[in-house]
Amino acid sequence: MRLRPVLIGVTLALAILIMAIAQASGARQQTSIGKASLQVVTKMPSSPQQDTVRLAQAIASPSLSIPKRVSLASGGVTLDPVDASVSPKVSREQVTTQFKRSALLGPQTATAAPDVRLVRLTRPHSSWKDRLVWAVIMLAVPDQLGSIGPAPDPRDDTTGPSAGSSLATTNTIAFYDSHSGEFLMALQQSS
Amino acid sequence: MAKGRIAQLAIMAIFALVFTALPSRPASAEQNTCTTRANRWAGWQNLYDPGNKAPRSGVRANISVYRGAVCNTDQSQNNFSTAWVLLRAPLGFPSPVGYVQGGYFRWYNSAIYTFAEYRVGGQSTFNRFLFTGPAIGSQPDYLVYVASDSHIYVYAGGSRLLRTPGDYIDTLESGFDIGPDFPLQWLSETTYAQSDIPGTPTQETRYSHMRQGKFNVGWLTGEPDTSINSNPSRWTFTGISDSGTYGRNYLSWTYANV
Repeated sequence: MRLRPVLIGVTLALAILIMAIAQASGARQQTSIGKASLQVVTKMPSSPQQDTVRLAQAIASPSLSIPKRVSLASGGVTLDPVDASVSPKVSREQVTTQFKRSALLGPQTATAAPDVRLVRLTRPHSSWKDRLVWAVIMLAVPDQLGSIGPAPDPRDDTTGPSAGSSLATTNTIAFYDSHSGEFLMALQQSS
Repeated sequence: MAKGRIAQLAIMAIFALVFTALPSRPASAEQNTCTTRANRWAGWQNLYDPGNKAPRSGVRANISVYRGAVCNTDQSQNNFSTAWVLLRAPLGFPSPVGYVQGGYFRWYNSAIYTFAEYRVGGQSTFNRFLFTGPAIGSQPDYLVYVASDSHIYVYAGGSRLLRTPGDYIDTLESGFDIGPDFPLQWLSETTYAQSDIPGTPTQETRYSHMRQGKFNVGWLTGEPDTSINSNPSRWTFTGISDSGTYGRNYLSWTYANV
């Protein structure tokens, strides 16, 4: 007799769980896109952790390298820590100067202080595997970038110029070879 | 002999006068004062898929690489000149629309970089990737397409620049799966009217071998149906032509320094 309320509770909990799973895995719904009314399937968008957060975590403390592996979802690259005994040919100061000269930040500001870390860079489908590089990291630079992006939808706007895309606060991470100082790539993410 | 000499000098003087009197051609240095920042485009698009065969899931072209000078009073990365191919969200989707693009790109006082950029539909944030640039005069093959794993890839000159973290439904359709059929763009762009798109009257930028990717079919000849020129007093481009050498192609350039 005492088991009956427990069984009812468990059954109810299971029913709620099943409903929640069904909703999350793609419920059919009617929606309108443009002029056409379409039967579509909604899909839960994947929401990988912002690379911004990973970058911030990676440089939370002053160091030569980073404390642990960081994978940047948008760039598809992996950064691994480097032992403190490693001595690169190109110095931290040299790569910082090169970064500033590259105009990757636009005009220099009083607060634009790049954080520079020595890391091992791995990028799938390239020759960069455990490559020793300097990562120059600039977080939260205000009003740095506007998107390049598509030409406007002609149904919204004809052939006239569009208002400049709004400028966003931006994080930049630029990679330079630690041996030659060669620029390899930069990731820029607005936030 | 003296008469001949005088005639020779006169001809040289006339040539000198003509050359100095010619309107200035787009210079290689940054030039002109920037006015209001407003993105402008020139070139061809496939917005409506007149053939309506298989869904459009890729865009591709060889684009010749030239340096577009930009105006000189905005020294930021937002003052750029670029040429690219792009896959965008279906027309009618609310702004900010999703897009994925690849091409080459430079800004005030910078070198030319190879770039890829994407924005997930409905989000205000975007991601840009810069790589060591292509050589001036080269014609890399740029392509953006939905692959069999449903993610979107960007390649330039045979190198992979990008694989979107989400699939095409997440990236371009804001989570509403209506199938992979997307408008295509082959365009040049600047952020100011006073800047040059790549290419000059004597060295035009050529978009050649323009192709469209068809889902589960492959690459077919591109079928642009719409042009855009939001800076016609300074830029121009040709119609689409076909040739054995260049496939389906067009030329674009900056023709006036106004």
